[in-house]
Amino acid sequence: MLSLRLLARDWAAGELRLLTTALALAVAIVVGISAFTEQLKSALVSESNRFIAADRVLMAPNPAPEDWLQGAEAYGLRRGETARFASMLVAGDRMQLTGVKAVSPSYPLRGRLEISDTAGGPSRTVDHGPATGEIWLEARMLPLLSVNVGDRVEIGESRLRVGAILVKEPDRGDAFFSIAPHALMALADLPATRIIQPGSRVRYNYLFAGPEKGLAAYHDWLKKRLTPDYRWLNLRDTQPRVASALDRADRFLLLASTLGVALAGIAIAISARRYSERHYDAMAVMKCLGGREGRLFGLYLQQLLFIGLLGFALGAALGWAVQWGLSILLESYVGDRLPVPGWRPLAMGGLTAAVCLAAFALPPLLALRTIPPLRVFRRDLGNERRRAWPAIAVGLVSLTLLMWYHSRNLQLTLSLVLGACVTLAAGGFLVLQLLRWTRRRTANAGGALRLAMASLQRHPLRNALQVVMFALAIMLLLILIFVRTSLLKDWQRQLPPGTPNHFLVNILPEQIADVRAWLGEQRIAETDFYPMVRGRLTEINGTSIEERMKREQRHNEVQDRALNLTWSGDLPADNSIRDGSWWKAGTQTSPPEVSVETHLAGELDIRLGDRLTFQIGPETLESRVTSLRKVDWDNMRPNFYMIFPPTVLDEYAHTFITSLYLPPERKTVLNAFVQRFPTITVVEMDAIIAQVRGVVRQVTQAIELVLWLIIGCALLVLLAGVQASIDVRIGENALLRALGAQRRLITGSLWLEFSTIGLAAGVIAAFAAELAVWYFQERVMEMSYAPHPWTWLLGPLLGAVLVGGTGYLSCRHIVRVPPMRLLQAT
Amino acid sequence: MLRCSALEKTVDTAEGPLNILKGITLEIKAGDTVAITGASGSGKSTLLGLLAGLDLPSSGRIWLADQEITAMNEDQRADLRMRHVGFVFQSFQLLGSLTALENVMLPLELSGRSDAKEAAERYLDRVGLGPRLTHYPNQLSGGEQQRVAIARAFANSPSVLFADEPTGNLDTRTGARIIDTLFELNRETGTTLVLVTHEQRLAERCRYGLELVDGLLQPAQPDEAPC
Ligand SMILES: Nc1ncnc2c1ncn2[C@@H]1O[C@H](COP(=O)(O)OP(=O)(O)O)[C@@H](O)[C@H]1O
Ligand SMILES: [Mg+2]
Repeated sequence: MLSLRLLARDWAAGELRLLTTALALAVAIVVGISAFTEQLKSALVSESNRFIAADRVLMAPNPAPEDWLQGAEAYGLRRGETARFASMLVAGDRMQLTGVKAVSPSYPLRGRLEISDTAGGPSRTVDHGPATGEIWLEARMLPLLSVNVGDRVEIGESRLRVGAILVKEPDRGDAFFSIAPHALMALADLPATRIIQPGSRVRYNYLFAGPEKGLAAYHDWLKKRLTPDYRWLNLRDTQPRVASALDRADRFLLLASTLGVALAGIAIAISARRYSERHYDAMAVMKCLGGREGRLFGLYLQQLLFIGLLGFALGAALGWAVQWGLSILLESYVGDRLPVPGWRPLAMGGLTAAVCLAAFALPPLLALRTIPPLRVFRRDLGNERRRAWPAIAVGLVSLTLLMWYHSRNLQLTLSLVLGACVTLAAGGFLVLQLLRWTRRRTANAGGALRLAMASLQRHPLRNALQVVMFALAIMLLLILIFVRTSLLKDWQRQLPPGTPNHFLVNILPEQIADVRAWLGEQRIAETDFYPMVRGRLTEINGTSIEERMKREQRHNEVQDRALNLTWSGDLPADNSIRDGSWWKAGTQTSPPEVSVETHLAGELDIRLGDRLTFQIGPETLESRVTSLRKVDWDNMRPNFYMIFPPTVLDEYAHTFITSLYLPPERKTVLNAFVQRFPTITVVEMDAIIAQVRGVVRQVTQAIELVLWLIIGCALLVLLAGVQASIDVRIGENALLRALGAQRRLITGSLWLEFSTIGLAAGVIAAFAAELAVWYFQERVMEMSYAPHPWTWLLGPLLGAVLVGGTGYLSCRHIVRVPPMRLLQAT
Repeated sequence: MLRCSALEKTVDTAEGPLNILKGITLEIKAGDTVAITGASGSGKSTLLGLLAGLDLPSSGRIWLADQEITAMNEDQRADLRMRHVGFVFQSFQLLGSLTALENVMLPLELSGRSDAKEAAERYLDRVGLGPRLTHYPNQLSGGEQQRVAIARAFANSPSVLFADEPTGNLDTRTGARIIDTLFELNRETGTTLVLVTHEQRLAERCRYGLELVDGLLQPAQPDEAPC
């Protein structure tokens, strides 16, 4: 095939490498990142294994009607069931209040249990709970009850054999409500214990697992039947930190792939344009030799197709390798093999390649089509300024569509594209004016600088365009570096070392002094003690929550849930007032003031000045909202939805809560603590914190890896841009050397010329990037924006060094080759 | 073989229309050799381009190999060029990304010849470049490049060969060798040769000469270019 032979010849001459590399990188980024984000989603699922032992959980204070549960089967869901309650376990003369979870045979739906036969002995994994007649105890309980595996313990009216030591359970993360220590038994044994009586506090969890679609459809079906007592949970509700880390990583990767594709698209456009321009002569000659326009154009189209296939194959392979590397990182953390991503990423890569070629490489090739054969006599024929606007418009629209497709966010895409267009156009215009202005100023500067300036001023429009293009590449790179840096910072800030990892709940007022003293003895630092009153929000402005929800057609995910109320004279650390104002010390109002957390206020549509009615025990309390307060839920300190001024809640029964940090090697202290204060509940958060840290660490590595890919793309744009401008420079510089300019002068002037272009690009990029990052952080990543003073250093520096370096390296050979050869070749 | 009547060419320039050719009538018989001379900028290349069907005249008609190229569309003219026309240019016009051999193979490949490689090798051998097949144009001297171009021009066995100042970029000695090669091949293949040149010695070797003056053709002055 002639086109293939021509392609092979062009390839050998190095004409197509840049184009193919750019295409391959675009495909690699799309394939790699989309495959990896799919895996991140599976990781999210396996995270939910860890934390809720299912994909979704229906939480209820009473047994749910059987037909609701059976309904799930119609949607292809598997289901399981657990019941949690507190009960006294008895062995001989020992007794221990224990948090018991009775589980159905299908438990756990996701994840596995880890058990062992001796405390601290080797453990094994199983995918079911205890058999009937058995109970599994946490290691900590054995000394408390003075039993071993094989012994019997009494629970209610039953006697169960200690079947194993419970090391790990998948939904242990949901620990906030459970009371340590902990035991697991079969649900089938529960009736015989006669523990569950009308009125006893039991929490039923109905577990569901299955395809996402089925889960969503089932929830839709179930929603209409649920009463306010029920809560429908997913990982996002139970583990917002893990979910938000994975979500942000997901969004970052989408952003990265969007920017990567944009960069690669630009590189493709530039190198295709250069390729096409370098073939003007060939086209004219071949027309002279009798090639028909259609046929010749067909040859080039076929070449483009081959390049597309080659680029796609290379890119797909590279992308696959990238996702493979990333998934190894992720697997090492998730511990489960992640499913191999399907064909979708490859299809997306193929689509991207096709669009890139059609939108960025085809228009310059179309210009090739109409090159007149007469060009063999007049070299300038076909060179006349082709109207670039149609090609630019096509490229811009396609770029926007591609970015939209990859980011799945039209607003983001449009604002990014528009913002980039405006800043870059303004920057380009400025550079153009500057070039014209300096023309007069540098006329009598000496040596390399004058030469460089002269060269820049010889083609002001082209150089301004080049500045804009480089600015675009540097800007995209800066954006990504910024977002990455603040993402990582945010994550680190979220859980600094020493973050409280245990909560002490249920501390009676008279115990505070003792607990403080005990912790002091052990040299354990605790956060403050916060009073806590259990209450329920029942009415807003006199309307019951239930009615309000119905009226506003909201579905009942948020209901008159039980809330922990607290009081405080000062605004707690990490809280900030968003609306209204915090009370002044010592003021008493009637009805009393209350400060509401912003998120809950949003969900329930609570506004400043609303009247809230709480049910606390048998009594009701009226209050007026005087402030809305933003809470940092990530800080692992006791946080509250509702805060009252001091003394308002004095007369209600209250307990205290505090949090503390315990390093892993000191966990055994808890045994002594529980023995000393049996009524105080210890909530262990250390496992969750370790999980979050693990997710963050792995995802961070993934992000770094992806960043390198994007840097590769940006460099490619620089390289393509420099090479595109080199053809002209080679001729000019050969002439200069022929006229007697020394090599040093020429290399110096090339350095200066490219560095100046890079510097200008860097300044524009810094400005544009700062603008864009402000937008991303505030609107897309939901992070707060802080300016980056060092951008103004980094941008121009990066530009000058990268563009100067690439330019110098690519032009180096100009001064090595004798000028004669260069003059001959052109 | 090649005929034109009342050929005019006017182009638009920044300074207004420029009337390059003002009515050229000419007939060249098969196997003839013709030299067209004229001052630089007199329109020689323009005329050659028109005769070869690379461009269309503003008015007038042209016949090449008994077909009226002024009545053809670009594709038909391309076909005609492929079958009947060969070119040699002042600036060689070799493709820099192709080797000498590949440059000569190009017209053969375009016309779909299966023996492109062998034929191309033969012609390169014929012009004395047998040992330089895999060299790229920028690895060859000007004279060598022009010989490659000549091999390429003859490779398709054209009935008319157009040469536009083939020695214009070469020194005298090299130019003389190129001229020898050109005329030897012309003799062997019986090709019609239309040669544009400003070099006396080259024009002298043609059967007759024409001079382009002020947009019109006239017989070359005998003392300048005797036939
Ligand atoms: N397409 C064109 N546009 C403008 N001027 C042209 C064009 N083609 C030829 N000319 C002008 O016509 C004149 C003749 O050109 P040409 O045929 O190349 O002359 P020659 O080959 O005899 O040196 C020159 O002055 C050239 O600049
Ligand atoms: Mg000429």
